[in-house]
Amino acid sequence: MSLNLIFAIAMVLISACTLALPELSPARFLFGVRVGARFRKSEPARQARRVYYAHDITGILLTIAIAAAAGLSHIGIWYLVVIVPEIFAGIGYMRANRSLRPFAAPPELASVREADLSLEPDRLPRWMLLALPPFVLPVAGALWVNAHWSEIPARVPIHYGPDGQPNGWTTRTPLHLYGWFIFITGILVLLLAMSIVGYYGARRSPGRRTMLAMMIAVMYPMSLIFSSIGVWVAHHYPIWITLAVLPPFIAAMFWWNHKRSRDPQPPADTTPDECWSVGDVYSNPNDPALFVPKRMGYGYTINFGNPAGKWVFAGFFTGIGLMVGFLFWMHS
Amino acid sequence: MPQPAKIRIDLNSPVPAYRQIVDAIRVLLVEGRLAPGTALPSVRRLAMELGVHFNTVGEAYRALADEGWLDLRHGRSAIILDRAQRAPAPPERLLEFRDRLRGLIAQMRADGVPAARIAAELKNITEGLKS
Repeated sequence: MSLNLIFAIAMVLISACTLALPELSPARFLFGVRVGARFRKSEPARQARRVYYAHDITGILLTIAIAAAAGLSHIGIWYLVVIVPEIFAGIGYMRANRSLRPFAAPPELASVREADLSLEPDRLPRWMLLALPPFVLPVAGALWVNAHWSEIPARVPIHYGPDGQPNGWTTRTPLHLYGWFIFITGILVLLLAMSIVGYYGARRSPGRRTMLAMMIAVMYPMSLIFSSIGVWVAHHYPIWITLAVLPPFIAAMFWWNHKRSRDPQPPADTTPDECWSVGDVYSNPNDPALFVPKRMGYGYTINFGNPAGKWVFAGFFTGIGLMVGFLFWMHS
Repeated sequence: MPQPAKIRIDLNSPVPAYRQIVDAIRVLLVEGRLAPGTALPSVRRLAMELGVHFNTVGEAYRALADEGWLDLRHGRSAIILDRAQRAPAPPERLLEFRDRLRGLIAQMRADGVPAARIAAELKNITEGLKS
């Protein structure tokens, strides 16, 4: 697979994600600002979109220009590919948010709250068991490596260039051959824990189940890709076969999110406008919910005003940091 | 199909949130929409659903327990008790209720609700609360 093709696919995916952002938020929000039902077609809304798209497209074009100038074989370019469009889109989002604030609609009965006391106790849905199959893949991969141990060369690659060719080698050790399976199992455990905490830490609503379903869905391609890498270290095969699941998966998630954001009767939003900042950061010490639906439209976000929310955030990213640190240690 | 046992509070109301929760749950209890033996949501869950502090719900549950409606044992859900019919309230308590009712009815009249409508509403509510 050529570097140009990989670059083109990555840019299409990133551009699609950032360009579609304004259309993914629930209809009553635009760039994190509460707006009326018809506001999206108004001139201020169009102007805010223009501001956002101008930033976003500038970031995309700048990334392409840098890649063309520096060449794709340079590893740093691939970090820029991921970071630059997001930074520009983030700045555009914040500027659009600021431009729309004077047009914010009044809160929709945010002071009135309702709770149903006759509901069943809060339990995870049965389909939560679908979170278990992704754990099978790393176990199966490790068993495959164990069964083929004697066939694995004494010298195995541990580092690869952007062209997919190995540029770092090590001797065949259990750490290097089982490391990717340990890594992805750790990441899956973190995702599963976050899903459960998110479910119990959010108010009852259909969106909460969607969040849980999406978290479980994300576990599948992650498990497949990282388990494949683990097997690939021991036995090279065309890895693009597994990487090819990403574009349709991301497209499906977009469709799902878009469908959900266009719910004609969404549950009432009870988060005060003044508790949202920098576009989509929520902090409300008076709200016991740990997680609330994002106004941007991509799932839920942590309530940073809740001390437990800060601990959950710190715990999750510490866990991710530990797992990434494990990868670096493995490759050192 | 039984009606859902929903409570509704307004955080902008001059009535404290805990008092609104007590009043709303008491209505459901008196109307029989919450049966004895069933468990109420945990303090944490109800506080989260209503977006109020845990202490607000805790205080409301304790007030209901003091009235004999709930069993609040440590480490267990709040269980609704089969509350035996109490003796009629003493005259001074009735006077207090009457004063509160008069205040509420005066407010309704001041807001333009006709007297006949108030009487009909009172009758309907009284019928609904017969348990």
